[in-house]
Amino acid sequence: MSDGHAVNVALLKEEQKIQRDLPLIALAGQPNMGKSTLFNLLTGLNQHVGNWPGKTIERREGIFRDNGYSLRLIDLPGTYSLTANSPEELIAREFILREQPDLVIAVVSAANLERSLYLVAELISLPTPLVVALNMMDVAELEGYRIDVEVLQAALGVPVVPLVATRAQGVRELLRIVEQVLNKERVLMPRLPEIRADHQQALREIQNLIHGYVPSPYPLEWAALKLLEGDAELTRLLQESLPPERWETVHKILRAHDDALMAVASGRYEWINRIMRAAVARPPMGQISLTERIDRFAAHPILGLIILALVLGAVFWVTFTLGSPLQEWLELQVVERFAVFAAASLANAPAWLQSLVVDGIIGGVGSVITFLPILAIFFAAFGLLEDIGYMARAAYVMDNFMHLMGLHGKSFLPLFLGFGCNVPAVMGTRVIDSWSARLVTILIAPFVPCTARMAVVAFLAGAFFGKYATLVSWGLALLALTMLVVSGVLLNALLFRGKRSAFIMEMPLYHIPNGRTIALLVWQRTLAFVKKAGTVILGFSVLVWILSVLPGGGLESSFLARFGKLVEPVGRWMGFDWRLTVALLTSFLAKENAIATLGVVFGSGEEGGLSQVLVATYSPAVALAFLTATMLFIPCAATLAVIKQEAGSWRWALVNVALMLALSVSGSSLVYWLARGFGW
Amino acid sequence: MMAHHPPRRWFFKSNPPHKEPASNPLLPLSELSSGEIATFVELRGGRGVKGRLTSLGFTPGVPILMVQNYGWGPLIVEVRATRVALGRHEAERIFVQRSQA
Repeated sequence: MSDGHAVNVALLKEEQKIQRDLPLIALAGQPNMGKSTLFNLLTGLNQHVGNWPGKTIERREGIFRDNGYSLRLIDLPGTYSLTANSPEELIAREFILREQPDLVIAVVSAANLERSLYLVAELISLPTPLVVALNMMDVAELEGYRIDVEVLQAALGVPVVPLVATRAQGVRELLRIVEQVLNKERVLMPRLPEIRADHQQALREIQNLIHGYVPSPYPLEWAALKLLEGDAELTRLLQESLPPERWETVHKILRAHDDALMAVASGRYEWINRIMRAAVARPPMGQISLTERIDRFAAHPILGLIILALVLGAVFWVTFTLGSPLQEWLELQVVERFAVFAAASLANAPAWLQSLVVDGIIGGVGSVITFLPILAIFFAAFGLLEDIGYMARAAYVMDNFMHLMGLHGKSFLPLFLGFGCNVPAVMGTRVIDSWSARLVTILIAPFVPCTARMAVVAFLAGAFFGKYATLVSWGLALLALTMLVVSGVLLNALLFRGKRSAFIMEMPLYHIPNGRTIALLVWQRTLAFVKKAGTVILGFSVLVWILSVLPGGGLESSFLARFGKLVEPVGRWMGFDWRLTVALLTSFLAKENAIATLGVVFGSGEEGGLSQVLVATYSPAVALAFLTATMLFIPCAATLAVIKQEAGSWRWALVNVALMLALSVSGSSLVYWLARGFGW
Repeated sequence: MMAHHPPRRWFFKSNPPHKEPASNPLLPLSELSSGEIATFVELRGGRGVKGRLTSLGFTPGVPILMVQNYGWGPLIVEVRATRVALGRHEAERIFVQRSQA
């Protein structure tokens, strides 16, 4: 066994070594240019998704193989420029300068050439060879642009390959050109943009001053230009490496040219416009595009909200209509059968082992597996909306409301994902560009009532409140969302003193969705959930199982029950006995466990029987208090694990636990005493 | 320069059409009504916002078309054939001049 393991490790290392020797190609591009579509097309499932070191930004790497010819591809984060405005931009340029890939493919959109060439203007000034992939030729044609690729290529001085990545057109040609450049069969003569004339003198002066002090691997001219642009990272580096009096001189020039950012950018756009004039025939102005037509409704401040509500309603309807039967089927046909089978094959094994496998392991893993169909359908619906470009509109129309919490529209998207499951919601906060807004969103995301919590509510509300069950469920969901807003307002005021972050967001053109892109997105998100939730939930379900059987002598005397009795005084505030307290505590493992635990402590596995026992045991006031507590209780283990991962420390995870614990105990106690006051 | 085409949105209209003033003063982008075109002049804001807007194509002299402005909430502009959504707060710090007809 250990030998086999050693061989595997050796093979893996060998594989990694071979991969390191492959030509390394970096894909760079602005957002919404189809860069990821091209990456997926080239690598398929042959990709590895991880994080950039020390960052929670997705790092995608893959291998392209064809006829014995292989390439290693890195999908750089989508960036508008290479100035250190955001972590993504820093990652992209550090990768190109430090790892020195053999080639950079710049993915640009033919339908949006002017702006997408801006990044090319930056990339072309770097020492790494560049090939331009001119994507979305079909969209450009539809919009009426005519692009002379030969002229564009001559004007840029680097190869330009027209492409329709969604239909895999032009990819062969792209690979042929890449191979030619790698084999040095093609000489590149890039034509570089220049800074606007009124700042050229300053640029030269700075170059002379910092010559010999620029830390590797940064090229001298590039570093001087970035200083003029006011790049925070480069400014810091050079301030450290230059002697103080020399830095003073540089600083003086920079202060005298504090509009240099505009001069540099204008220089790049002049360069772009010269190229555009030569190579592109624009469509006549004033024609109303499809995007504009749709946006009159979808981005309208009132109609847009109505449309959003309808879209979200449809997403839920589809998710539960398709997902719930699948979930039941998995529960009955797969998980339960497997549990019965496992119990039968372990019939001769010690009782504790049988219990560990059936209750601990299968129970824990089962709750993850049965949850998958709902989650996958939800992800697919979400991915579709993202791919056609609707999500930017959803963020836009929600912007006003999100301002209440010092957040802006972009925070709405991950929060919505939370209705499916809080785990992807917390991970989805990566779309938010400012750290303060992202942190607040992470901390309030667990208030979104996920499907698991709604399942608990549906069961207990049905048992206790009969025809008012729906009303109670809606009321509880509304309560949770109110708490979300209140917490958001408070957190923003306390942590960031009401600071608000800038809302600047590109509204991409609507386009026809690409099945492959969505399928890969669903696959990757689901896989990430399984990896995270699967391991955390399995670990915790075994732990809870151990606590419920030790030190032996039944559940009533177990460590779990002792702990329940220890905190029972707190439970009393909410009208709970030790059993409800334990049920609430085990919902930490996975929210739906609240019901399963009650089933165990009342000794009735059958749910029908359980609801009768519960109604006979507890008053409606207690039930309502229990539901309130469940709704607002601390996030489940898997969510907590991703909060720690995304927020970067346990500190924030604990802040979240403290906040939710306080709100759930106080809220539930209040509900209990109010309900008692009404005589329930 | 793009032609000034007046909005003909009977249902979606919110702002009355502005009259062209005799001189051409600086005004915040947020004061343009839907369908108006202006020229970008300057941005009063922090480095981060400046950098992001610059890379999205906001440079001096560039024409900006106000696609949607209802007088409250975020707005949409078109710059260099790209649609960009801006918070009202950001739009109040971008200064433009109305294009002369």
